[in-house]
Amino acid sequence: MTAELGYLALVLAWAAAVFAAFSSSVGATYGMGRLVASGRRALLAAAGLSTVAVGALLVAFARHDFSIAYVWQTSSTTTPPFYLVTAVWGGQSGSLLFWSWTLALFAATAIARRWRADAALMPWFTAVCGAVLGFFLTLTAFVANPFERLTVLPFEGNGLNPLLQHPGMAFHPPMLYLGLTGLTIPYAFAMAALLARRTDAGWILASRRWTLVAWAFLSIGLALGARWAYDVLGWGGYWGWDPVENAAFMPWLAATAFLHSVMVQERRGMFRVWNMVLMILTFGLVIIGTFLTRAGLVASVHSFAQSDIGPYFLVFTAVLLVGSLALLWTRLSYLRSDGVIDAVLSRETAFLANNVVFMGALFGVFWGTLFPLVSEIVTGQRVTVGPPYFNRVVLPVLWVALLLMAVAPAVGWRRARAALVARALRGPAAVAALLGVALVALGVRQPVALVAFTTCAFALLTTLAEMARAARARMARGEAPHAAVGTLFRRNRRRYGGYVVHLGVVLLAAGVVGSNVYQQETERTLAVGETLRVGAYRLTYEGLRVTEAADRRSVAAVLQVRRDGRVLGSVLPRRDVFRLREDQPMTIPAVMSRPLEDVYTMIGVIDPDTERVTVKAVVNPLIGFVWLGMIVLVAGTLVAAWPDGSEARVMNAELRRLLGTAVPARGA
Amino acid sequence: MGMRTVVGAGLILGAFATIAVVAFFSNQQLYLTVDELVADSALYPGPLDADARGDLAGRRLQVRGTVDYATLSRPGGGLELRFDLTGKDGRLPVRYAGMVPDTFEQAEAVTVAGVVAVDGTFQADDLVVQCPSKYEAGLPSAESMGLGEVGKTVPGAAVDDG
Repeated sequence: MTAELGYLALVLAWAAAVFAAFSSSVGATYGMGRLVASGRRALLAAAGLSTVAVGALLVAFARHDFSIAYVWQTSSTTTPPFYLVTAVWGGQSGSLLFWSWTLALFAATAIARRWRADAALMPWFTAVCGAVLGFFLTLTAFVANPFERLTVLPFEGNGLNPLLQHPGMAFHPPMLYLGLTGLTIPYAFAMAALLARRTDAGWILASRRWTLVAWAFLSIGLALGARWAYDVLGWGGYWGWDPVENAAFMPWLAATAFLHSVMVQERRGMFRVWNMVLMILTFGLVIIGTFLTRAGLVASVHSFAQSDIGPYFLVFTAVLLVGSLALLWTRLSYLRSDGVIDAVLSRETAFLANNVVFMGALFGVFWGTLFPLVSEIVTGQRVTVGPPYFNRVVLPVLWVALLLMAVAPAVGWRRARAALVARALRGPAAVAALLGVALVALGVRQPVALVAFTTCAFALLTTLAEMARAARARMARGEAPHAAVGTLFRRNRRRYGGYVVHLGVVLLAAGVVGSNVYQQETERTLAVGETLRVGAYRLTYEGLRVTEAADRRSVAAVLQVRRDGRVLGSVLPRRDVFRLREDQPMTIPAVMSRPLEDVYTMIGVIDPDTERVTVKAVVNPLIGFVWLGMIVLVAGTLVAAWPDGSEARVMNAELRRLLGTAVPARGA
Repeated sequence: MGMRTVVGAGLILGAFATIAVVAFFSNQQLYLTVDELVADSALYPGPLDADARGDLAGRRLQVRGTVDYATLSRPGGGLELRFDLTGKDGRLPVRYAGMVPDTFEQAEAVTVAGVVAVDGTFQADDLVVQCPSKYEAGLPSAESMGLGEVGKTVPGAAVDDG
């Protein structure tokens, strides 16, 4: 029954979404209020119905209903309850349902919050969301149906892939989906603004916070994916420029560019067309990314089974890009810029440079990810590039972004005075240079590391100095230091949240450089009692340890870690064999995290007779900064995106002040 | 935005794009199947005598094929792994020193990256396992599950009443 109920809800949700798209667009075009109102109700209904479908799938998992192919594929009676829930998005068809569901919830939330505030935009917004939702529900209901039945009734499920049984994996996909579906909302606002010919600040106001929220989810998703790869995949790294990683990274880059250039539009009324292009590009990349991930076109750790949803995505992407850009073309006259860039040294130029940098990085990733596919289709010969290409092309561009991050906050709007900029940057530059000299004295010789670390220090110091300067200005008016900082964050969440994001990026960059440039790696086969040397560490193999658990049997190699003759403890890299999937053992790395570096270990072949074991050991310096940077980055984004009334209050206060200067305040 | 700004930003981006494309082509690796490689006498001249040693460019390649598990050996019991990668007709002896992923033993296809050595073996420094059914198993059928009857009801298992 649950399968039938779920499928019925799914088909009804599809019908409601398609109806919402038609009804809203016809209603908005001909000014028919009743059609607009029923379009709104239809989209809300689609959100409710897709919730029912997800609920039904969840019940099917809870009841171990293996007559449903998807439940059979991704769970078993021994799957822990937590992973029964995560199995809902653990496979192809379920993840598409989850995608649709989150999109429907986001759209419904936006409609509930802004229906009155943006009365002119919302019917079109509903139409665009309905169309996108309709596409995804078409796939879910008719192409990759998660409620499809098996022709046999199996005794036991296939079980969730052991690789996916990791907390990071439980939250990594949904966070990414939330980020990707979340970006639909600002795109829909942008298209609504064009369709309704309301290209003033309205769509920007409506969409910038949604972009921030989506960006936060996307960042969390990427961070968790990195952590999962580090904890589970066992190659000692966290980012491999895998096509599917790139697929999620590209919309992130485009959205980052948008979040910066939108400020120029808010402040100066410039870059209007460009911001539209960025929004279309971002959403186009979301769809291309989903397509790459789902259609099994690229070979990667992420590939799902070969599937037949590819052509649908191709057509949808083409329609989407051509349609959006054509619409933009017909509305160009509504997007006249209010101003021009007055001077080369100005915040406007800095934001422009930021956009050029992010577009450059995006192009590099895009070319390296998609050209192999295109070349194979056109010439029949496949070529690929690996991490060296991406590191050489994309990382230098991101270094320029780091440099801009250090300089730009000190550069004023319109026409910055060079003397002021120089004064703000002098101190931090001097300290960063000193740090560079100190690093050389400490024995750091690699030019890449020296340049990167000093740039990090420069960016860190200018950002902190910028915050300190603003706080001092408040303290000069008699506020206590902590209160001054608090007021800054309350008054201008976006700005100071943004600075916190910048601090996170600095930490992340330092971690990436440290763990790449100074990574050390050794691999050897050890007999019991033998010692492996990696960096300053000595790992002594003390023997195997076998543990039996209900669902698995683990064989671990006990490795004692010593540094400078001192025993630091033991690490136990292991191999798990799951009883349900004996053919698929899983090797789990073991990590000893030290304050400034990680000792990362992994085992290969185990010879059961001689107990000889192949050990791979990696020392990853500064890798803690990668995780810390990601956490700070997300925290900063949350500060910037946190919903509050203060923005409205600030605007009201401004308005009162403006009126107050024109009309003397009452009672004064 | 003035025309000059657009042109300036466009020029910088264009210059960068050129660098990226050039970097791509200088870093690219051919990706071939075993059959394609073995059939290509320029890329794979086969075992060579010592005189021809200098002629081989040692170009980095990626080769995809199926592992012939019967040929799998670990000479010396150490890290080095030897096996034949096979295609429809071609066969390529591979040497690889390093850890293999857990999925190696039941891989449907394997991609190795490295160079063709003078003795005609492929010296791989990277090995990627491709397994189309990595996260989702194929659907069960009555035969594959060893069930005679279709739709057999099992006491204790969740039985759908729909």
